[in-house]
Amino acid sequence: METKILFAGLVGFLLGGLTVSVAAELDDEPAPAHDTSAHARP
Amino acid sequence: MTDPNLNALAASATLHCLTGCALGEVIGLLVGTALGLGNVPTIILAVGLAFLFGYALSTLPLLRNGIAFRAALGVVLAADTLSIAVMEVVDNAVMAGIPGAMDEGLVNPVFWIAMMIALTAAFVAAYPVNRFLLARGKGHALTHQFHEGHSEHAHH
Repeated sequence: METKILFAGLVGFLLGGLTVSVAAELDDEPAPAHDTSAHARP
Repeated sequence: MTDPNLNALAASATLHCLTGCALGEVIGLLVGTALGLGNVPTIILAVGLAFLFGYALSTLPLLRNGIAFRAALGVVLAADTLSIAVMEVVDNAVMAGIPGAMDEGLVNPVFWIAMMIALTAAFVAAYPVNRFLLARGKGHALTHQFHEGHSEHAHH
């Protein structure tokens, strides 16, 4: 088993996880802009 | 008195150990976090898997070299236990110490950043341990004698 390949895979996995989680976080951020509760007020 | 070969060997041994540890640690933390387990059960799971993967990664090449399972396991337990233990203590202490790293699940970028910081800290902490052991003919030096003539020796 090639340790360096496994280690590279591990680093890639961590970077992938970071990328996906950052993307998920950014995707959540615009949500308040769609909040229509202000329009419901009289 | 610094032997560059010893430094390189220690770095290689630490990387080898870290890879096994990290695989178990990452899987343990992922499963624990995904299942919503508390910090303590998650860390116990991660440490258990880290030892399992760490030993497995060192044992498999020996088995492929024709060493009997019991003998291989004996050598690996003696060689890797201290290194893995140091890595696990540092890794989990860093993970537990970074606010929010284990609280908000896998979609939290802090989890992934903390994991990278923790694994880097674990490498830095375990390197002198491996170097110390190698310099005294212990640690990974124990497994190296079984790798002689092994074509995949370069992986160390």
